[in-house]
Amino acid sequence: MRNRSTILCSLLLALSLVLEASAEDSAEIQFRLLRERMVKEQIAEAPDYRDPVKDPRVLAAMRTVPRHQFVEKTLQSVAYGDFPLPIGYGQTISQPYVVALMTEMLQIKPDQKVMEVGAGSGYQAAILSLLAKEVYTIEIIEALALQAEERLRSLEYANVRVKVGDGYYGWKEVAPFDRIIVTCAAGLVPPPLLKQLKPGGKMCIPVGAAYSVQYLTMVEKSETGAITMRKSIPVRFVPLTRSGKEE
Amino acid sequence: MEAETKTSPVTLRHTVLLFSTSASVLAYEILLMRLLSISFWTHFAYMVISLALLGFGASGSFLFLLSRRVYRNMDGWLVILAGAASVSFPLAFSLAMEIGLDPLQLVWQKKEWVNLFATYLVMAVPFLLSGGVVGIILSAAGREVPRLYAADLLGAGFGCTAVVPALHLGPPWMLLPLLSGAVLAGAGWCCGGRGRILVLPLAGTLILVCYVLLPPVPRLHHTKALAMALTFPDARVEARTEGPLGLIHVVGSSLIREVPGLSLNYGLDGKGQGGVLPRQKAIFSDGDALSTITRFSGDLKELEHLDFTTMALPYHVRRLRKVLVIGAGGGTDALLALKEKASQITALESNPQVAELMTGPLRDFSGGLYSRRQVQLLVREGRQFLHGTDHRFDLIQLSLLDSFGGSSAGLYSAAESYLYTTEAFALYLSRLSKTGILAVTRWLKLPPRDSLRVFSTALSALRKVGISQKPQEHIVLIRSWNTSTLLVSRTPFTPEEIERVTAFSDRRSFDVDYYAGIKEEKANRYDVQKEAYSFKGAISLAGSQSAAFLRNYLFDVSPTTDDRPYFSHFFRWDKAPGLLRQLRSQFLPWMEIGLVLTIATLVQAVVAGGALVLLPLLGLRFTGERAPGELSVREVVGTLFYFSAVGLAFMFMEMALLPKYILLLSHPIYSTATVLGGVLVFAGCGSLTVRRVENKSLWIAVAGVCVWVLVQALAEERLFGWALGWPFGGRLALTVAMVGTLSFFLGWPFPIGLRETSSRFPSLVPWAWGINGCASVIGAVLGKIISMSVGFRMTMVAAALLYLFSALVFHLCYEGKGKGEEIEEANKELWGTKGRSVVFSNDR
Repeated sequence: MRNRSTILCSLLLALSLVLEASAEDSAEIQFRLLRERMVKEQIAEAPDYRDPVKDPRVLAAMRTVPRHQFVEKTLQSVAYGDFPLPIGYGQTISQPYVVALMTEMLQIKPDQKVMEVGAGSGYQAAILSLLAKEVYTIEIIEALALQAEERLRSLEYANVRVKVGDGYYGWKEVAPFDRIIVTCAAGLVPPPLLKQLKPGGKMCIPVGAAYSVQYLTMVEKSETGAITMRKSIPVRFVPLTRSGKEE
Repeated sequence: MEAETKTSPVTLRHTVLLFSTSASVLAYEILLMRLLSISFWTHFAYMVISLALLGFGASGSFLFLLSRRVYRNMDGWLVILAGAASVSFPLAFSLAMEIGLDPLQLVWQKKEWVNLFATYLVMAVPFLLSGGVVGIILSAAGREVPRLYAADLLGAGFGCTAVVPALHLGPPWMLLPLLSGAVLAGAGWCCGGRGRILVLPLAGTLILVCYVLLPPVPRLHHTKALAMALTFPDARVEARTEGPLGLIHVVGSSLIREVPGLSLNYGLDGKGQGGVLPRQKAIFSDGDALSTITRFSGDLKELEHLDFTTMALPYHVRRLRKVLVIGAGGGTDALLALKEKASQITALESNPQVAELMTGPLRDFSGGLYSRRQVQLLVREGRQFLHGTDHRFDLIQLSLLDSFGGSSAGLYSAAESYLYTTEAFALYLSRLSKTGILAVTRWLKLPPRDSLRVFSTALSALRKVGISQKPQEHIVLIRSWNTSTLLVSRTPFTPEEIERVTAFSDRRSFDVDYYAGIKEEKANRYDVQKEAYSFKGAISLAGSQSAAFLRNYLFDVSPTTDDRPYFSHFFRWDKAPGLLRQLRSQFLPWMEIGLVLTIATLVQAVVAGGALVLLPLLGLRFTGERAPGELSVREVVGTLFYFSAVGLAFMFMEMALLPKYILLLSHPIYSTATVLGGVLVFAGCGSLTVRRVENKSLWIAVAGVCVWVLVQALAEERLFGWALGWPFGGRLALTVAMVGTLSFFLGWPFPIGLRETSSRFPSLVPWAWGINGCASVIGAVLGKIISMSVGFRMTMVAAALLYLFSALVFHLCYEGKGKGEEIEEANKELWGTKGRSVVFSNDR
């Protein structure tokens, strides 16, 4: 009798594990479908008031990285929506289209070294890691930096290094960089970042006041060191830092 | 007189209550504006308060529907309403803060609409209750209406004049109990009986409880610049001052770095401290970024970064010794002048609190900037200073007086600025030395707006000062990635000077947008615009096709004038559909939040106000048992039209006068106190005289208004130009004289109408009060929109026309004699010897 109940319990346990696993699989399948749809409807065949992102490498990266893993569990169901989402500490994970557009604007080559300022959830760094040789990302909020580092490690994005620090000063020890991407609003283009950009390098930065209209701006450094810039679309990014401290 | 006393239950004690309630509620409105401006933004505060003011209109409607019940125990109702109003002053604001509205989430979060509606409702309560007190007394006044209305206006005038100096005493939230106390004292004096014994101590206790449990202290919205700065890991508030001009905070943090439009080349060549900027602190006014202060030890090398801004251009073009900085703030422009070895720097700062901080707690950090031998700091407004001085300057520097965030969001679109008008630029030019330069720096927007409007205004000013032959040779325009600087000179820029401009710009990767004879290949090279908009816009404005360009450009960049000083209002209604079609969801960034909120306010006010006005009609019977005064459709519609027109016209006039006299009085808060106080007090005086005039005198009042508008329109430029150099007391006296003359006549139409309504159709008196309240709210918003669109003169003309219309309606609807007296007799019969003056049309 006892044996029978043990067997029954074991069977139930096995069944629940199988069901859980298949539920997990079906959730992942569901997220993959959502990702496909996100890339198709928001990015590759974007509405006519947006310039579509066409770079196949960028589109492939957007299809691959599980965006839902970079947001809180409660927000996973809306992770692939056409909007930014909060990630805590007053920060957000950018709208998928903006992530794709900024990445495309950088025209990253596989052998290049990229620095990101404003790691946030680590999602942008994960996308970059599929396109570049090395990715260096800086985050001033320690808790976010640690979360991002852990997340990137568990998802096996091995070519990404995370540092806690003030992004204004860049990452002097590993400079110069072929590409720099700033994923938070900046009231000025930090001179140290321009210095850490290689000749021929490019930097993408949303320029403008926080919570106001900013312009996605592409800064280019010629082989002779001359700087030019082009403003792209208006966007809204959160400010450089927020630690949640109150008055 | 004796007969009047018998028919009116209103006594001197009620007049005292009316005075204290009106004074308190007007003061409350101003304090609320300050409180909400600290929590949110001025224009949002304006919207919330405008809607809340509909509480006045609602009080009229409720009174109309409940009138029979109310007048059975008038004093009881008065003491309850006054007690409740006094508690609601602090409590409504506390509850509004508890609701936690986040206006920026309205687009995404449906629950924020519920919060917005709840905020409106809560904020309307103090106005509803106070309006009830005022409405009950006015409706019961009978033929004493002019005297009571005068008390109402005089009280309101006193309230708004007294509250501004009171703001020196402490923060706005600490003044609220004074207002509550004034209302309670008025109620205590006015009403006797058990009600007073119960209600007044209870109200006092509730106010105390509110301050202990829910203090009405404003909470900063998390996206305000101060709130964001305080989230920097090492941020701390280092100084704080309060006053009528705002709540000032100084924040220190290693992450505060602001150098507007800093060249991307700064620090690249190994110079410039390796691209590292000196430590800074930020000054915030009402939580918005105002200015930054740069640490300075006296070593000019620390200021090298300033040479990499567009503001440094004039120093590279000509040798400039005497410099005037308008809007000195934290001292960036004065530091630049110091670095460039100017021998005499006059720095004007209009906010005394900022000046005190810079010469007090921040003196050491700023290296004693304003105490240096070459630097003189004056607490003066630019135009007034220049009108009163014979000095000539080599450079007048007007830089970035708006914050970057506010400017790019269009927060300033509904704000008047008399520093950027044709008349102002002409004044600056007239105070320049022979080779002097006027330098104006603005934030850069895309498509370009500010830079082009500065350009067109400068051209217009050059013509005004007599430089009509090739004025374009007197202008240079350059831009960095987020600032543009325009130089204007009384003498044309020479080819050598133009070379210096291009050399300066090339070294810093700044784009030259305009100098006379510029070729396209020289423009748009560093901050590359798709269509070289800035260059093409400037070329068009300087050329023969200027008028066509202004007609066809997406935004209004025509020169601003003192009559329409809305520099940051670029929106064009005729171009809106095209913009919307082209940009769809990306349309929003181009909308001006100031304008959007003003229009949103108007729409909401019209809908809610219309409902409040029409609601009582549902309860109205046009025929039946309402002897002795039956109402016809003509009478009801006449009342609606008359009181709507009077309410709209009064507010149109006020909304034109308030911003117009900022020019004379330097700051909106002084203009509000003086103009609003003056209008209300003198209108009150005018109202007092109505007791002695006949109804046909309405035409005299309307004629007086029309003549005043004509005189003001014809004489204002000369008069203001003459008076701007006067001391503050003189300007104040002129304002009071001008506003007082007009307001004396403005005080007639409402009491004449109400007196006649009270005699002929007394049941409509509360409704008329409600209509006037709603029309006043709509008039305030509509008046603002008209002023922004066509200028103050036309707004005043519209007001005069509305007064004419109201006189015509009065003539048509109140014609015939004797009916009023008949009705009064009937009232006496109905109510006995102590009878009321109000006969009720609805039988509730």
